Amino acid sequence: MRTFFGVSLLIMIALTVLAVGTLPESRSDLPLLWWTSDPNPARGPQIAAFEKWMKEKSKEDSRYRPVRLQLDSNNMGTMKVIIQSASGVGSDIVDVYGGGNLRQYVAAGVLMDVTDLAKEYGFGPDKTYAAAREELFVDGRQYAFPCNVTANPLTINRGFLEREGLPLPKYDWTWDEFLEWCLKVRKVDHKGNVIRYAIWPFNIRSLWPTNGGTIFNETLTRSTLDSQAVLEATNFYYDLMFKYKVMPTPMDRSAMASQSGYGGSMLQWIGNELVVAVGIGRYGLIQLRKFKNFKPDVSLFPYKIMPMQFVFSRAAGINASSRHKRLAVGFLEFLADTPYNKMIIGDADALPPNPQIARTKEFLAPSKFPNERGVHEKYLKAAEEYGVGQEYSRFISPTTVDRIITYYDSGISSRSIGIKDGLNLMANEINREIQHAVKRDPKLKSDFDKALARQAKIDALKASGEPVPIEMVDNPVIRKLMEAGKWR
Amino acid sequence: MTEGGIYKRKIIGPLLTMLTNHVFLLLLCCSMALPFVWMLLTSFKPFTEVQSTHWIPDNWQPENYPETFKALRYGALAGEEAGKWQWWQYFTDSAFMRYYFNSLFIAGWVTLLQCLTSAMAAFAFSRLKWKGRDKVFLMYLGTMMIPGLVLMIPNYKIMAWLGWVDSYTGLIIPAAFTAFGTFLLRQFMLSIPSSLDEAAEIDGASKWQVFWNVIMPLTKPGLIVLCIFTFMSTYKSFFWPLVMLRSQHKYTLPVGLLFFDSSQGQETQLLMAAVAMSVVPLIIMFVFMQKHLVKGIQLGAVKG
Repeated sequence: MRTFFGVSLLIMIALTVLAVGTLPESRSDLPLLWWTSDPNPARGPQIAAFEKWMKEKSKEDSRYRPVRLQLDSNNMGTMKVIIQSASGVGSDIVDVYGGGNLRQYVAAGVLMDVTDLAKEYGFGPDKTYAAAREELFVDGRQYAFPCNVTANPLTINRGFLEREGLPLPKYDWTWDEFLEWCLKVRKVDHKGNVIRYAIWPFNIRSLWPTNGGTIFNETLTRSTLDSQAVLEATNFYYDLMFKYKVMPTPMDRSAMASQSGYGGSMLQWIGNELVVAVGIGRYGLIQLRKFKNFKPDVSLFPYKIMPMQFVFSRAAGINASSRHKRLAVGFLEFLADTPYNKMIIGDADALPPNPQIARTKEFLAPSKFPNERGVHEKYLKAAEEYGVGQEYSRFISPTTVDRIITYYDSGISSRSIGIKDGLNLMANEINREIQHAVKRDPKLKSDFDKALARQAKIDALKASGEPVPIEMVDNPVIRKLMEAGKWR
Repeated sequence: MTEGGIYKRKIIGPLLTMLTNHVFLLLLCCSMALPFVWMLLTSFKPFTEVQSTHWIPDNWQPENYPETFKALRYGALAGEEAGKWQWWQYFTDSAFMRYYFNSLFIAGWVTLLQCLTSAMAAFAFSRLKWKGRDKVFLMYLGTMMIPGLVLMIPNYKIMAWLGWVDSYTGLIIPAAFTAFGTFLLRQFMLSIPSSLDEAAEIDGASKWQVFWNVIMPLTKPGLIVLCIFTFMSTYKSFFWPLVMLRSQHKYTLPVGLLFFDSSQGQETQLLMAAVAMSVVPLIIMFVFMQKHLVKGIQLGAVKG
């Protein structure tokens, strides 16, 4: 017994020496930065590139120092980030998943205002997509810079269409043109059952702005989901599903998944030619490249008034309680610089944050993937030219808006509620939540009253037929429509 | 009773019962084995077949196994293909081996310490006589009734206060003390006749000598059972390492495998290959120790 425990103890001590001795931090005295991000295989190379970048910068500028960057992928939950930051043990760099998440972090005091530093170090809004502004700014102040950006247009199996002699898609198309194409590429068996759908169900919100429909009014003080424009777009969406049967219903999906033997993922469906188009960004190519001979094409979501694509981003912000703020700022600068952007171009992890660096041969015509010639430019164009920021009202939490829309939309798709009733209920509930939020917070109430006064002026101008100055409008979708002269 | 009746009662009846029992047990076995079989088969599928409802791969892809190591390689450049590896690169260049090592290392320490601390506590609760012993034992045992998740936040705060967050110590020390192990070994020690302690004490042995030289060797079967239980539960532990660890070099296997389910997509086939490899130590342990495992389950039911 004594020998057994003695030998075991000695073995464990030897292993401890080995384990601790081979840890990277025990071999370095460089400052250590922590980055809360997802456990993605691309993070390792990105970290190595940043460390190299900082080292090279430090040789020519004394404001930079060589650092070590470590990934903290275990603490990504919003609540964990907020609690750890409040306790002073949060990571130096925090990933921000969209504008809703950004607003949560800013409200909780997690993120540092980097507006002035962004100007000084060159990672301001001019270094990224105009439509990504809503993902980085809160009340006119910058808190983050994108790690990558995506618009999620329709990715289409062009190789299949060419092989079958079916019509190829247009890049921008009207609802009618789109429907006509869908009906041609869909396949129905002799019993009338659809055996190949044209399009995989997408987020219904993608269609609303293409008909001039918005979630909120100009000043983001009231929901306009009960408008005629939103109703028309929603009707068109559900007609694709129930009337024209070019898009599977949830029941169709589960039935076909078990019959076809390809499960329920949209990438499996498009890769195995059960559906021709799916709404996914450039990052979808990472997986689609695994399907032999997959040749993609890209189209915008169809429009009635004007084509528009929502832009999303995964951004990085600096923890306000970080001990290495100045060094962490270097990371945001790195995100806007060439080495990082080239990495995003190489691994197709959505679009590079800095579009100026995107127009390289490597991006436009990757030599390893000849099937993708011309495709990447279309993804870029969708974000740059047709991209629009999402509607975030400061008078209601974005997660509450998401919850309300998802709840009633699932009611509509299961046909337990009518489309018009569902949209009215969404609008009413969002407006009710806005009133509750405003009532609880006197500061918010004061801002809300000012916004309401501005809205009254806008309404008066609209009623009298006079033009509304764009500066009076907060809603990014309405601003985009106004810029194009399409706002009614 | 007719001859046919006797035949039915004595032969057919028991035979039918036995057959029914066996069919039932066989079905039960299959239902237990199915997830494991699915995991193994999926680990040989290409990505394009992962979601297929066909269990058997159309195209067998054993390369998923070496690919698992390559997918978790250190310091590769963006877009660079891993290419063909020399055998030693699987040990030096892949984080997967580090996760494997960390899991075994942490499970090894926890098992060793837990056996020692539990045995000492069990000795105090079973062989030593002191005031309030049984009440303290009941309180100690009562901690088993508190769900682990409830203790997660206070434990984490203590670890942060001690500066043990993101350290091996923070994973090993809190797990080194357990009411279950104490209970298990106490039950075992209670079955050892007290005359042995008395005889040793008459011969001049101290309490420590009684514990170490008399009781511990006799508790060997109980210790083996505790070793197995502790090693298995620590090796597969997920939530506490997930909460405690930040540095990738300290990740254990269950935490490290999250890499295969990232924002770049789910690599189910690689995940299944990694899981298949990660269960190997447990299978080896089970094969060699299954006799003791069954005994361990019985031990918990022995009245003290």
